[in-house]
Amino acid sequence: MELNLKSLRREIDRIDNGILQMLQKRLEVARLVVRFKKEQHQDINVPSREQEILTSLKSRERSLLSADVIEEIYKILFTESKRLQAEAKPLIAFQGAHGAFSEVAARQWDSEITPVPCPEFADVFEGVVAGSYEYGIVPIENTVGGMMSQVNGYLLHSDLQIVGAVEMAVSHALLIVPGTDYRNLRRVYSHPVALAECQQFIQRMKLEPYAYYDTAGAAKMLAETWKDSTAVIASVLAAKYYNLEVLKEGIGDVANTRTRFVVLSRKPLEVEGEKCSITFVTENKAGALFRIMQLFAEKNINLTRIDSVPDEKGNYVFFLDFTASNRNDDVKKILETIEQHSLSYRFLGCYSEK
Amino acid sequence: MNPMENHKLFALAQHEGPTCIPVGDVCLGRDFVVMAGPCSVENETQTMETAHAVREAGARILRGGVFKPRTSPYDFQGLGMEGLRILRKAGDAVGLPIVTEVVDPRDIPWVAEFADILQIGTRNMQNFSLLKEAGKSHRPVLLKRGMHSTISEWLNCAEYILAEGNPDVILCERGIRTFENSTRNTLDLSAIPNIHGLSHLPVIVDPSHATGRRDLIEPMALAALASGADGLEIEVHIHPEEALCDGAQSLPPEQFAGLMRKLRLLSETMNQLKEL
Repeated sequence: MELNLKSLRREIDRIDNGILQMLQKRLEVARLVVRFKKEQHQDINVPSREQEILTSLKSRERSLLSADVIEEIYKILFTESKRLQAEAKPLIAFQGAHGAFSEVAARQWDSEITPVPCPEFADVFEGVVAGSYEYGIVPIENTVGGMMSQVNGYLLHSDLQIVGAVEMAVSHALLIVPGTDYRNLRRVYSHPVALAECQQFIQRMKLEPYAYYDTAGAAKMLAETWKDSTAVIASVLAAKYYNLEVLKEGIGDVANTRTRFVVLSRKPLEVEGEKCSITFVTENKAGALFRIMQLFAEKNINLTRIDSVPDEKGNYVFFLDFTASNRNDDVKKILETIEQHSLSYRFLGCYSEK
Repeated sequence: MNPMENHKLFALAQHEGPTCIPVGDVCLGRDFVVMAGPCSVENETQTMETAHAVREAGARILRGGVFKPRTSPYDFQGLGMEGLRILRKAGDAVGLPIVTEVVDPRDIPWVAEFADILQIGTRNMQNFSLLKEAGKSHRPVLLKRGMHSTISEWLNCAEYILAEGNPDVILCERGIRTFENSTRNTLDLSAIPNIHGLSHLPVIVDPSHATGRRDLIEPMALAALASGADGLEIEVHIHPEEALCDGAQSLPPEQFAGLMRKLRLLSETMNQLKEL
């Protein structure tokens, strides 16, 4: 690297980006610790652990970094971690890196809640079941790809309740390293679904698409590598997280791609909802599904979703959503009937949708 | 004109009636369309205020320069992509399509993502690589007449765009260089009926660059309409005295609104004349 003021400042900006990500990550992990401290009846303040960390850090070989500076920086971090642990505001887990569309949806569901990233959908489900997160948010269906089979599979096999839902237009944006000359862009990274949804745009711009595991993850990668000639497709929120420039918003080929997300919790919603989700397995014979749908039609209840997936035994598991409250007497009767006539049945939750 | 010209795509014989190019909710070639806005996008406030003012007065397309081909390399060169995003935002805010000039063939796919019409300026009229690239775009192209070009040369430049498969070319007369030096250029109004006799493409007039003088814009704009022009492109600035470019030929919003009222009256008269 050539040493001049401009290139050095650019390098500092890049490092600061990284430091900010790591600080954020450290506070998130510290916040997750509180559950275990509580389970083990430990105090939030554990001076011995702080001392252990400091001793370890100060014992490392260093050049410019002095022991005093390490201590000062970590004292601030310890204080903030303990404050966050004491406060213990509710967390909502989502799959992906910060800036993922699931996080955008989580913020839309509740702007006050703290979103926490998880590597896999399984981590979201397991984390909510175990009590690390109060809530989890997962995409369940969208207008381009249809239903998300992996998520629906987890939903089927967990005991979690749906306590909310968000239907959101997913708006893809083209993000670049600030100051990149758009004429030099050659490659674009994103999740394969996002690349497919922006295929015509990518062709018009003569960019070469590269698949990445996650949209926001691609943005994070670009922020870390600061590659010229590279763009990513992700949310505007991701641009804000990783200090990237939004070259263009709304680059999807279909103007209004909508995705539906559901919010999961261990406990059902306490207030009355206006939409319900159920799953059931009918007997494999003619008219079995029809008789169930007839129950809703007779009471003039609107069905908003019917999906089916084959289960291990070769039967079909149906997912059904309808707009009514489970506290309604007609609904109660219908659900009892379905339960009696199904090989298996689970009430997923009654909630309101945003 | 050479009889062979009749076989070219721009020729009258190649199209049944005049071409109609839909942009936003107007059709260039059928409706009389006024495009107005600042010479240059300078900042968001100026662009937004101008956009509201021209929309209010009746303009149907918002213009604004972001890549400026200036006589001197030391003059303001435009805000580039940042300016284009501001112009798009202003256009969306007032519900007007936008037109902006492109000067570099590499910019065309990017500008086409934001702008509804690509403008090719007088200095680039015969920049054939730029014309070919514009011909590959899915956006209509506003082709200004070269300041020292004949009508035949101009139409052949339109042919470059049409030949690449883009059927939507709008011609714009903006004055040519003559002996006269009391105006910036000499407006060739005879070009309008002349072209209407040769080509199915719409022709509009830019009285701002043609004259370079605020006091001459209104009479030339009215004369353009009377000569059968399909529209006008006019520079409007909320504070012309503070403009970073072409302030002397920019109309303040109130003068532009006055001109628009006169154009509407004249338009009614012209429609009556057509029925005679």
